Amino acid sequence: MERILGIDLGTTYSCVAVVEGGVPMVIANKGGYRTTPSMVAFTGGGRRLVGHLAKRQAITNPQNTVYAVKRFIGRKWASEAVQTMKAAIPYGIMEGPHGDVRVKIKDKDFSAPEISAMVLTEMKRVADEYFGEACSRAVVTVPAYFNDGQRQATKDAGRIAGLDVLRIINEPTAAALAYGYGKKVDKRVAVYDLGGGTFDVSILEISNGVFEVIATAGDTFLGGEDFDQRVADWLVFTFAKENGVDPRQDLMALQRIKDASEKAKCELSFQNEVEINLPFLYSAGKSKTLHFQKLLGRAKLEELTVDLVERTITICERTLKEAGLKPADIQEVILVGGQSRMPRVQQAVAKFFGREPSKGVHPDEVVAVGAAIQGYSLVTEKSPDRAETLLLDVTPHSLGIMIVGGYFNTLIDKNTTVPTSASHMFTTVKDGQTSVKIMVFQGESKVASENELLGEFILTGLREAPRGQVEIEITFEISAEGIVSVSAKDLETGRRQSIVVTATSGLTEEEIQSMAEDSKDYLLSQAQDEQFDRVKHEAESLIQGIEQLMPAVRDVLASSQFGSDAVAKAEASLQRSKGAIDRRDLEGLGDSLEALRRTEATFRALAGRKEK
Amino acid sequence: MGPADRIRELLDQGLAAYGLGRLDEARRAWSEALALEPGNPRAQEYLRFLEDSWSPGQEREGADYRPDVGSDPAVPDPAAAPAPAATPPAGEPAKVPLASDQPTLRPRPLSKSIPPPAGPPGEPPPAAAPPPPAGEDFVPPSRPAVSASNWGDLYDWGADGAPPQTPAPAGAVPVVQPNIVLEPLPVPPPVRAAPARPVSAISAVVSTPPPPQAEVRVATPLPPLPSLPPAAPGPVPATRPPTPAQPSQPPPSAPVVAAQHSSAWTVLTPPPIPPEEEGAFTRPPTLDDIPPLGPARPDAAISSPLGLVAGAPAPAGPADDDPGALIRGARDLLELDDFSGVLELVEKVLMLAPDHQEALFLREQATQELVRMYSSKVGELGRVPRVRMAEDEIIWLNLDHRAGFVLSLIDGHTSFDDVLSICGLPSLDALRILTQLLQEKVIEVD
Repeated sequence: MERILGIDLGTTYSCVAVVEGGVPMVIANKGGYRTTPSMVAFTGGGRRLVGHLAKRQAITNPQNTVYAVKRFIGRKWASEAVQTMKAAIPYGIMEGPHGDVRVKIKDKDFSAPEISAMVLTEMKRVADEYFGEACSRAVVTVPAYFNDGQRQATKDAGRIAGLDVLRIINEPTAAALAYGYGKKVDKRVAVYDLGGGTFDVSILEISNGVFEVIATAGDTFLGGEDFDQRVADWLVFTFAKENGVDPRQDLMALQRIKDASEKAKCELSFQNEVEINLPFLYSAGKSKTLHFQKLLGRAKLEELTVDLVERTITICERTLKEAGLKPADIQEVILVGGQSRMPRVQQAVAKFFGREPSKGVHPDEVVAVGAAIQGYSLVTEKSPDRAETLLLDVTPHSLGIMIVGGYFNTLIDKNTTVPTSASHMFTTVKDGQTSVKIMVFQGESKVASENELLGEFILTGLREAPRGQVEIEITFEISAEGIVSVSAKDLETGRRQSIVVTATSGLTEEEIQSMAEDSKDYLLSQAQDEQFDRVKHEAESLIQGIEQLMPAVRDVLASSQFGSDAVAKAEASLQRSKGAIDRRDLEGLGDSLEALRRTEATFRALAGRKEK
Repeated sequence: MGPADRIRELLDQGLAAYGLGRLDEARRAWSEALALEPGNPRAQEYLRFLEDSWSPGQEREGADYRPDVGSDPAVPDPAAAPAPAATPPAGEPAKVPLASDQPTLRPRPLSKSIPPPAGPPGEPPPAAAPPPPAGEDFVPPSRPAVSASNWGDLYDWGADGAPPQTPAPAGAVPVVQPNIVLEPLPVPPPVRAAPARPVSAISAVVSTPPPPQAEVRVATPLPPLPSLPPAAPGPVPATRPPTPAQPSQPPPSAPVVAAQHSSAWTVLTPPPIPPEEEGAFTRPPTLDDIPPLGPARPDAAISSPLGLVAGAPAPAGPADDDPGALIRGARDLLELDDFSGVLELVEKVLMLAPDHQEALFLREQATQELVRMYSSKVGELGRVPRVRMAEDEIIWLNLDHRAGFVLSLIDGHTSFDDVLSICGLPSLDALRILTQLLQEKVIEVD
């Protein structure tokens, strides 16, 4: 049976899982980590780093390290979110040819799906290496609040990475799927997802295999990184106070402090105190290198981050209120995201919901596992003993049109379960008005322009009449696949116009195909480079050995004609090999390698003879 | 060991000694090599170079060195005390013997604490005092022995970095001052093969050995050892009793300066070097004469634009403001495969003339060679290193923050190649640090 990967493409970390023989499993990367940072870096030497390596040089190479690109994916350059985030990132972004966001690295620009594709490629590689064969199909998760454009962009990223994305599912839904896997669950659950960069809380109704998201909300700028930053700030301050120097002046020192902050924070979830030990952290003068050693207690960490925890609880409160629920109505709380392992967070959640959160799922992996379960169910034949899973999602944002005065008139409220439809009657605003422009928006602002424009069309041929007399019915429909269609009908004439809002990632089909080709080419050249480096290393060792033996061999062979020929041939072989190394000619170097091996063995024997 | 190996070893020993300013030792080694193989071109070339560069006439003109030659009883004139002869194989005399009365240069031992006698400008310095008779004690009776109690005085350099000027009693013979070991050894231009060797490593080359009964009680402020971590935290690695492997009587070529510490005599030389490390001092000054990871002392640090930190001050080589001389020196060093030295000189040239084509070319060439050499030392870059030393040992190493950063990237999962990619340092610097960490056994590869 074909394997379907479940990929949690997170803002800060990603995870890949698969269900093998009915058992979900997370695949660790080559470093042994079960999650991989969603970071991509481009080094000065032209190398592309993804994951932990990229993260470990993020501070020292900030302009060329792309992180949290998920915040840009599928968004328009002009959107408020992008303009807000622009100031907060160290790498460059610019407007793309289709009004999308492009990341500028050195002299090249990358679309957001392209960067996400690099992360997905890495996750695919992890799975490929684990299974020893290519895995090409996947279910990928996205936040529940992602709009159609963002979902489509995520799908495009999968295509660029060489993945056939079978389904895009919501992260809280995936978490609930993992939670309910293998057991009969009929509950109303809250999914508290405090990840690295974002916080989301979702309320789901699980009943008879139907998973329905009934409410979702969150904060896209609240996550584990904020906790890390609090610790890092404290360490910086402490170091500066002790030594009279600001370690942030040295990016290497800052990188180490940030790494140590995250590590200490994670360790404090399991112990009460950790020692932060950073030898040779900062050079204060030519010979004075300062070390840094500090104890950090759990209480201190909680003191530093108390307001962040409170913010998550406030959002939970608001979400429940919007859903018309009370904390007591929640029968289970599922914790998702690494930051939710912090004891103080768990205590706050338990206090708010009045119940201990579920400990049955791994917060870092639960979303990927849920995606893998969904993928597994897609390719598994239905059996009577296994309940069929039905995922029902909600619209994450309100949908409506712009009306006179530039206001936004909502037709479908957020958190409405799909499929759904809604109609509303509108009238003309001018005397003798014969046409009307319908502009479809998505969002929560009362001002239409502050929401996201999904599409527009014009209904013409209205009868000429005083204003307010022509009635037009606007109907919104959202299918189970999330496709939005909007129609406008002149009730008197029956004339009708409609559009189907097709999600777009901001990339054309040609661009996607070209990027997919580039991705393949890169992987191919990377494999060749690795092979060349292996061969080059062996060749250089042999060259060095031969050159060292050369004087002794010359002495031994000085008197024979054969000897001079042999030495001349060896020298020619050395030159050929060096030339191939300089040209990075893998084929040429491979050809020379055998000659070098033979020469080295012969020379060693001759030199040994001289010794005797 | 075959004769060829022995010759190569002698040549290398000579180069290393030359790089450290031990000219006599270098001459002896090369002479011995020549004795073993009379036509050896390298030995001939080195000896010729030594004699050409440091001819007796030139020595006399070298005012920098002249005033102290023979004037310091602690540094007897080699002419008075013939250098140990090279040891040719039995029955085979050395083919190119060096005359025992050949002038021999030495470090300027007392130039800081005891300024050379001032003479009118342009006039030759006053004649050197006659060397003391053999066996004479170097310490005048009027001078109290330096002990642990006045140790601090000897460290008390002025705020301006100058040592305290201790007026010598009238008529007293100058004594060896502690700062003698901090004086950079003269290294001949243009062959500056002294590749940033910390002065502590050469601190012992001061004088001929005192007679057994001599009580040379000099506190020698040794800077931190460049290559070996101290065994235990403490200000000075002071007490290291002689062991059978480390005879209390030093060899003639490496006299020790001793100090009295409590009731025990303490040899203030660097700790005994294990054979493998010792080898590093006897190899050619190309790869293995790696600068220490961190500066040994404040004024000894040289940061090149490449970020290389050398452990010793720049040698008295070509004039720093003469690009022509610097380039000539760099060319010579390139011929001797002293690529670090080449870099150091061409960086100076490029400071003066940023577009100097030959300097750029030499820099590129030397960098490539060093990268190749360090890469070869590190080995296959796909291998994964891990930290071998315990954290509480690491803290006693002599590292700078960059080495500390590189070390922090080594986690047992990250390959050398990846470390090079993520450390953000130029490849040469990163490879140099990794090589040093490997050599110091701070890290290892399975």
